Amino acid sequence: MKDHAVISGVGLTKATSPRRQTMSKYELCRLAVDRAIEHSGVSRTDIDTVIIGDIAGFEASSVSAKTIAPHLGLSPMTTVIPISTGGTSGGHLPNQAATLIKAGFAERVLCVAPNTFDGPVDLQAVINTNSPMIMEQPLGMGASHMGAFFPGAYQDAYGISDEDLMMVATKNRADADFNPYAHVNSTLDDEHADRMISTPLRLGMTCPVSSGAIALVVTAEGLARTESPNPLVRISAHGSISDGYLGGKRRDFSKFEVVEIMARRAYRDAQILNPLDELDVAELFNPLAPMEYMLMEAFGLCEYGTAPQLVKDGTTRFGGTLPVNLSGGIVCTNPGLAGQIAPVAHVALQLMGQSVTRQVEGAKRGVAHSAGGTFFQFHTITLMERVA
Amino acid sequence: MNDDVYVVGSSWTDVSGDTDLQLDEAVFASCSEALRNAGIRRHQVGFSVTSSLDLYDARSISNALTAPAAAAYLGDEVRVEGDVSNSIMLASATLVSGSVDFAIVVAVHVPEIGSVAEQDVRKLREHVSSYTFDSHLDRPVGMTSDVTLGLHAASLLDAGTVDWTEMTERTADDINRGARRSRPRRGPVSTTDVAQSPMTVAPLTQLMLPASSAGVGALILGLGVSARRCPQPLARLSGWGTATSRPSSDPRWLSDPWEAATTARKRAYARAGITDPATQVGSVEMTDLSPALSPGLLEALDLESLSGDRVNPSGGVRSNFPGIANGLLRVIEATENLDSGHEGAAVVHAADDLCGLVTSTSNVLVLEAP
Repeated sequence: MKDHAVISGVGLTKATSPRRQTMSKYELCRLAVDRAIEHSGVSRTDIDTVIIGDIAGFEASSVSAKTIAPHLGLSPMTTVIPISTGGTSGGHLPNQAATLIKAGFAERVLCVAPNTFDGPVDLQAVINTNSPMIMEQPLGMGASHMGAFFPGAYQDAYGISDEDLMMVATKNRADADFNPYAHVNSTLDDEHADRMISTPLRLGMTCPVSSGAIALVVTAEGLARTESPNPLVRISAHGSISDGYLGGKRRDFSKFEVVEIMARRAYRDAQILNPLDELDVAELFNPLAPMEYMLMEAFGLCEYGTAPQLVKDGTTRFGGTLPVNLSGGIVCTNPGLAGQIAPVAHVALQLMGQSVTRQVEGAKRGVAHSAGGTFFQFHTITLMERVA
Repeated sequence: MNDDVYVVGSSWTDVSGDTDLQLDEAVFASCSEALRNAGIRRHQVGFSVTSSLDLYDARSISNALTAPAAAAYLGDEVRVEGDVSNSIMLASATLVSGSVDFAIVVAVHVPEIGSVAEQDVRKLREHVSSYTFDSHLDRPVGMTSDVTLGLHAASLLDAGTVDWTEMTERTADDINRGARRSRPRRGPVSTTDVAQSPMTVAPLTQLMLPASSAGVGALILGLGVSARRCPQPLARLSGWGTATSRPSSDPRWLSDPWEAATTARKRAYARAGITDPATQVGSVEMTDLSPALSPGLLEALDLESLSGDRVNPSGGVRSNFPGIANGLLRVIEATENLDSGHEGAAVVHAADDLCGLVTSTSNVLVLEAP
């Protein structure tokens, strides 16, 4: 039967460095799943579908869903759907779960976002293979160089200073101090944070390689009303978008133009007219801290080029009109798939009134985002709303 | 409201050794043909879902290359790793949820190995399969897709449940039936040819295994009245069901490899209102990866009574098996079966072979004349 989809359970694990991780991928996923199922009030045997994400080209196996699913204690014959879209895989999991429930194809869907980056000895070298192998790899461009295009263009377009770029990174790490599941926080010393990676990106503006897993339970709203102990958080709108493959398609690196297109569509579905006023919390995928500014603008929270002012005046800090990335964001914790689904997890917990970071009192509506692919080709959006 | 899902357009491109198309060009060509076939334009497509694997495409996040070619530029998209029948289900759900009116399903199986010869594609498939099994328990003992098929066939031969002659005859029948259709990858053979072809994984000979091939295909699915306004809807998708088989740690993957198909069939037939398959189903295209699986799979689908010419009329996987794109080819063949005079629904069973019979997701689709 068709129904609205609600996030009924969230399971987080503490992020750490892959080198310090003492649990296997199976153990981490099982832990996250156990916590999500317990939180949701759903019986494990009632899960009818499990969606598991990966980034196959970055991992030491292919289609890891095949080997993770048997370790989750699910009923035999539970449908397993492997999804792999790069940096947006995690964002797709709850969105596809919502689609299955809204269509009446499923009732209780488990979304599993594993630790993705634990396999390679040198993850950066592996990630660099993602760039177009004919047009861009031969130029020596890696992921960090491509990432630097955006803040560099942003500075040029709007006169943003290096200090402004670091300001948002410092804000993120300070916020991560309140997130017990974060990997990096304000203990990162200035000497390390200031190291130049690829102009204008400094180490403190770029995400760590983290290890951790996150699981969500997405349930048909009618069922959740009777079995979930938590306030109901409906997925009120969702979507994704693909830009072109080559960087040249971006037209203007000072803006995430396609995010604006995607956000408009989702806002239309959720009937949001003024996102800054109508949203209470936002988690925007920021593996590079300055992306937070650019995403705030693309999501319509302010005019282009004005986002740093919102950080300065406290609008997007805790206690402000619309706190952004109270979890510390991806720049503080990036365990791959788990990092991509983390924005949805943190917003859902905020709307339940159960944030593991600082709770935004009375939060009712929120937006979560993920991004990935070369030159951030892909994006997802998940709009959530607390329902009575 | 009419929530019926229709197949309104399709295309299939067998990739040959002398193709001059790059991967994304092949995807673009196939998607363009499917859109033309459906009579709609790219901007009408609200959702694009692709089935492909990075390891076949020889690049990480290979969907980044193919998504714009798959009608996903500035659109909603996702990529599924596994048989494309999973993607058909996701696209159908997107339609039924009311999000969009048209969706495109794209299947890509063009291994970047400089060859589309059956043996070369199978060799890569086995390599990737090894990489998909558990790295601590299964990979070290040599588990691959074909190994699971060999173990299963051997167990049935030992038990006397199947016999060698029957397997060679079924294989020859499938291949010869396929050779008379439009998309065969193998020419006519005799039972002697089957028996004397190289032993690939005992007791299965090379010809008993799927005819590994390369191809790209696309389906356009439409919803309700929008779909019915298309020039020539090909089929109505009236039922679907899905289930994933047991892992290697549970021996029932070997003793009952049809369990997932049985579960998926029950779910699909219930949706489609099929209560008497013997009279309501006219043909089946199924993914019986070895001839030892065929009788049990027919039983799992409750289609033992179908005459031989209605079981895999296309020749099935022993005539053409394009890996994770197989489900899409089977659907296209099934839509053609609907036109062939067989009365009743056309059933499709598709299952991924990434780990052979282990943790394989079976999808059963019921197609009816539009």
